[in-house]
Amino acid sequence: MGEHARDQRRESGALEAEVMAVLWAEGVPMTAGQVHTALGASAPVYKTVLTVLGRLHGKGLLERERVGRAHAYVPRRGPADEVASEMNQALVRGADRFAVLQRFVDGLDPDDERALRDLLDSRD
Amino acid sequence: MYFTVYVLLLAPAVLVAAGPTVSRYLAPAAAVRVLTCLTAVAAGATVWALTVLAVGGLAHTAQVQAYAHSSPRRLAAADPVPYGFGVIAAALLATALVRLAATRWHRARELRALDAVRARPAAGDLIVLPADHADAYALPGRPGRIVVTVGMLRALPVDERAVLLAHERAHLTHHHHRYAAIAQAAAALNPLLGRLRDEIAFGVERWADEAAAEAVASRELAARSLARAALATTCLPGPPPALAYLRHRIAARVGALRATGPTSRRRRVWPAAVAALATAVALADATVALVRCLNTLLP
Repeated sequence: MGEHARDQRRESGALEAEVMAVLWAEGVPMTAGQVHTALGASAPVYKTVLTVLGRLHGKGLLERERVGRAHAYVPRRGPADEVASEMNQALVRGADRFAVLQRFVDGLDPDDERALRDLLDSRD
Repeated sequence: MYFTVYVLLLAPAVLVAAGPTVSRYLAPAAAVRVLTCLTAVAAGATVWALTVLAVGGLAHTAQVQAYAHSSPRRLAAADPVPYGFGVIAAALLATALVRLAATRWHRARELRALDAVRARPAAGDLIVLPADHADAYALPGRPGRIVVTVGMLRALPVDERAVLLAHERAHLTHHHHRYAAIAQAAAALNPLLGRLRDEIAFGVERWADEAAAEAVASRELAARSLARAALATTCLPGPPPALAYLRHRIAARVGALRATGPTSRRRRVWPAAVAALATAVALADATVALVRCLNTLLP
């Protein structure tokens, strides 16, 4: 496998993640066009979004329904998701997790909280 | 010659003292690598010094003498470690090894339990958990996964979500869990090294922050994403996370992203390099001493 092909495969994995993140964040059925818009400035071409949605549906991660002439996609949730989620909740509250997994943020000090709010407010 | 053994026992304290300088003057990726080397050398020095003292000191016992047919006088000449030191060193060594084993066991158990999360179907490398609280982490291993809750995805706008994904992906592609595992094992062997482990934990986050800022081509965007995610986690249910030291440092991470990009000033870390090198020399010398002692014991 050449360098280019490997790059492309990694890219498509990242794209699947981004599309899935959009669908979960919105939480309502979305067409390919809506997903494309929601991806914002970094969005790939519409056709690529359509391909990625088809692939995610093929993997059983999405459910789809017909809306007029297009398909609307929504994340498929099963009972296993809830179980995994609860277990995760119990696990990550455990003792020294630093060596097992790296988190994005790990809580916040009240003093820092105000400073961070100010930072966000200055631009919002 | 046995003086080097005591140098080895002091080495971890010196190497720990060098930690903050390394974090301050090196870019995060370089700092984490250097700190991990320092902590590994310090842990090695601890174990080896205790081993040499235990062997040297316990060699005075009658049973060992009888077994080895060596003369007490020759042994005393080759090895001036008092018996009492040997006993203490052996006890400390046993404690350190038990602590290491316990840490490894806990880690293996937690990773096994997380296999249930890893087994979920993933979109690319992403696993979404349908939970309302905000949380995100990188799950190392094969395959490595980014785990994010719906609560976290909803807390961030789309461009800041890209920062989050890039940050966690950086943990996976740069194998940050390996540095973490070395740091944790070292701190188990010698509790003094807990300070270096904390420096490494922070350095690893800074490294991923910088990688994410580069991926989205905006330090300001990365800072905002981090700030918003941190604020979203303040409504986390349950007891506060155990890693309180990271909590105090979100503001430091945000501040670093809002400053200009990090550059390494290698000259400033010379003292740390010299300390590590001196420790390595002392390690070699103590090994020679141990061999000499064993030769006397088993002629």
